[in-house]
Amino acid sequence: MRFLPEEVEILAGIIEEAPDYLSGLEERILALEQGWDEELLDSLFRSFHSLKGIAGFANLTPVVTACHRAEDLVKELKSGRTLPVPAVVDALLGVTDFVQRFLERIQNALGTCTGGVLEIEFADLNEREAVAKVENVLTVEEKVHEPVEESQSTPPLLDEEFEKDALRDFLGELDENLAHAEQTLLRLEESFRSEDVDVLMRAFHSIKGGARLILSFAPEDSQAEILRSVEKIAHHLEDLFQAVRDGKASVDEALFQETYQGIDLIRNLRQALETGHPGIPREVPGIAPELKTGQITQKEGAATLEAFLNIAGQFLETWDECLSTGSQENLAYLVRLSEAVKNGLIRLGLRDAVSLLEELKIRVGEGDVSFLREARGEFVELLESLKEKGGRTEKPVSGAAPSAALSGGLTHTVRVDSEKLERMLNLVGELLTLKNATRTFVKKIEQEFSRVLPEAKNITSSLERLAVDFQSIVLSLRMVPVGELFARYRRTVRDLAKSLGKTISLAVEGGETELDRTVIERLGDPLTHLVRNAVDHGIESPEERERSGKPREGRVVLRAYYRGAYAFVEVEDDGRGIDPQAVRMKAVERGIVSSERVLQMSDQEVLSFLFVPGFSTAQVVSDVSGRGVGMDVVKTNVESMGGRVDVETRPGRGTTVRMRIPLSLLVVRGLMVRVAGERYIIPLDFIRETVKVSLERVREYFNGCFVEVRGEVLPLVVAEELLLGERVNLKTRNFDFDLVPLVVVVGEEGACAMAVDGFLEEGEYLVKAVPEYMRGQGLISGVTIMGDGSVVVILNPQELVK
Amino acid sequence: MTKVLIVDDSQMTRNFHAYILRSAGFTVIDAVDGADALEKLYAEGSIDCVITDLNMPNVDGLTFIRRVRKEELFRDIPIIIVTTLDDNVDRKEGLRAGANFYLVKPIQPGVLIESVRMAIGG
Repeated sequence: MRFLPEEVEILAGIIEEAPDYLSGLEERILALEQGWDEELLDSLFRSFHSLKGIAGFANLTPVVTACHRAEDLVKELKSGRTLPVPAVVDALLGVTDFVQRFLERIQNALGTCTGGVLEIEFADLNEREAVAKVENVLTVEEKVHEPVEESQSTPPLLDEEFEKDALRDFLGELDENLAHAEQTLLRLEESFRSEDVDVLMRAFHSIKGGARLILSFAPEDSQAEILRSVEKIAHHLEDLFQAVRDGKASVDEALFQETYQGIDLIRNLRQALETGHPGIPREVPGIAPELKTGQITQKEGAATLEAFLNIAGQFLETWDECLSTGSQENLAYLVRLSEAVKNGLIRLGLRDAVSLLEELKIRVGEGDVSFLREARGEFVELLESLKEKGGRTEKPVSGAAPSAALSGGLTHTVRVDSEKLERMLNLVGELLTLKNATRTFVKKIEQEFSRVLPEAKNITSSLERLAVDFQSIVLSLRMVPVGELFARYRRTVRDLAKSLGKTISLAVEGGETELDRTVIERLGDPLTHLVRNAVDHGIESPEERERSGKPREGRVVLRAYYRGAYAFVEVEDDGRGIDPQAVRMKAVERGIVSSERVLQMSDQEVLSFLFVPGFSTAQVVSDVSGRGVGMDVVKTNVESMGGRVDVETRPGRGTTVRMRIPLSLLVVRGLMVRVAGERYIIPLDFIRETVKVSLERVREYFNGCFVEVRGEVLPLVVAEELLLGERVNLKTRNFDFDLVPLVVVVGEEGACAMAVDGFLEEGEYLVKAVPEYMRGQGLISGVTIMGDGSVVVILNPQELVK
Repeated sequence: MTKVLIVDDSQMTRNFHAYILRSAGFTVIDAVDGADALEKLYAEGSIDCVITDLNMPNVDGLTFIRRVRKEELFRDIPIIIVTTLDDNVDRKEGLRAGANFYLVKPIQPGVLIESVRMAIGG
């Protein structure tokens, strides 16, 4: 067995841990001869189970298998079946011995290991003998009694759990390895680096090992088939890169193509693994594995149909050529090709249609071309109906498994259960609450117990510091570098550019910028739209670029950076840009705006039409994008996170779409205000300033109130009116010195002043989601819980401005 | 036992296609160019299907197909051309030279297997 350097480390760990489980194991096994109780059996089960578990980390399949069988044996005893005790003891000791010898072998090898790859020979340890002993006990017993059904149907919970966990871990790792491999492959395609070849080998090696490990648990047949396929493909891919490393093969287009295909294939198989027990659903889109032994193929029906449509298409083409020219050569070819078409129809189970081809072969063979004219319609109809059938099952979703890109294969990461994270976050919430409560409490005792006050203040400030530190750590746990998301688009750009006949390089800037994982998840769709837009519509064809004096290769940049409390994510291209004039015309044509109005609008204002649902200036509607869906999706998604989208374009030079996203959706800095005796929070991001103005400066016009602030006239809303829906006359209110407290809020549509009853305090508040029914026309964006346990509403100024 | 001859100058393509076809139960023989392929054809005697690239050193795909078809013994062996999207002309030429049909790279494994089955029949 070969172990890579990082596996050697794991081996050392196993050697360290194994004695915990092996110690006293023999005594406990021997104790079985004196009879047993539940506790003894459980302890034996746990020992073998744990040994199996740790052996699994280094893919020590023989140990895993042997321990697994030993577990089975103990299980049988637990289920109350009578087994020949001496044989059981013998078998279990056999497994223990085997494991011990196996581990000793590793320990010795580790002692002499000088780094690098470690080779250890285990073949002579006779795993089979150990396993066979267990099998014998199990099968002898089965021959004595009739097969006992119920004992098979109630396996201990623990074991099932373990296997489920193992599968889940395997899938997680698989995603990481695939994402990692794909990224490395893309890099390798740009420039050759021998390290990358090693990285790829290792990734496929791990996939192979993982699949083998799961296989050793003897999964259901359907799963086993898939796993074997995964193992085979990974093995093959590993071999490919080994050949490259050993200088036996070159790095060329074919290699990349094969590897991409292999990765896609594994990804599809993985999908089937997750959804696929007990059997793979027939309607899995795209490639699903054939479940016959050792076959790796597309879902049979889909592949057969695709193969047939390819042949039939060529057949029809030739058919038409025969009709137009009718040369002997073409006719001969048509007859030759009809064989494959006929075979295809038979494979598709369309035997009825075969007669058509047989007749064609005879008639055309006799030189009777008129038949071709008569039968063409029938054949075309047949093809169309087949295509339609295929359309429903085709088109695998590409770029799947977003979690793969997100869970991080590049940096050294620890996976954290998101549920745990959520719980921690709630704890932080409580901690913040407590912090606020303590502060209130300290204020209260300030008046009465001045003696203990310094101490209380000390405790409070320590608690505050602790809470804040804790908060920032927990929040940072949720942060994921955006680069891993960006990396997903390399493949998108590559494939898309290729299919469009363009050459485009993708550059990533600021990939290390970290964003909240929920933000990252929600950025996926908008980025896909924007990248596709850039590649399809932004970047011109190489010829066109050359004509306008640009380099043939187009450039798309994905960029992320922080500014203030925001992260900015940009998609920039150096393509043809967007012509504001074209947008103007389209907007008028679509009836979005009048032609008089549109002429008064600035170019920047006009560009906002791009976000109107269904709006597109693309001249050609292609499969890729340009159907006008997309930009509005971008806007909706980004705004749902409290962000905004801007477009900047220079005709002929390129376009930049900039998304501004709040750093975290969880904590908001806000100003607390008092309205009609209640407290409300307004996020600081939306507050331009707070002022107190004299009542005299409030003017009422027939269509609303306005107020003059520093010479600027702003629309005025009274918060109380807005929130409680009651008419309020400010003039009748008693403000100190007749000064109205105003919060000037800014939104996309401009600024407005909001009259409140008073300003309270500024602070950081943990946002809790509000149930849908409470949101009331979007005025409320969340709630927060105060130190005294009361709930305070956080307003959404975006809506206020409207 | 169905025997398939894969002719391609790229070792990796050969490996990959061979691997796919073997997994479907075919016996696979491979050749690095037209000359090699002709030699293998004569040596093997019975081949059920040929999958060939067009662009190869020494004896290219077109020449290879023409030579195969000239030989009485090999006149009915199904020949599948593997080509790229942009080489439209050669592909047509290949069909005229006697190939049965073509497949455009990249080829889905399942489609490769099914195409061979359709070419052979039965």
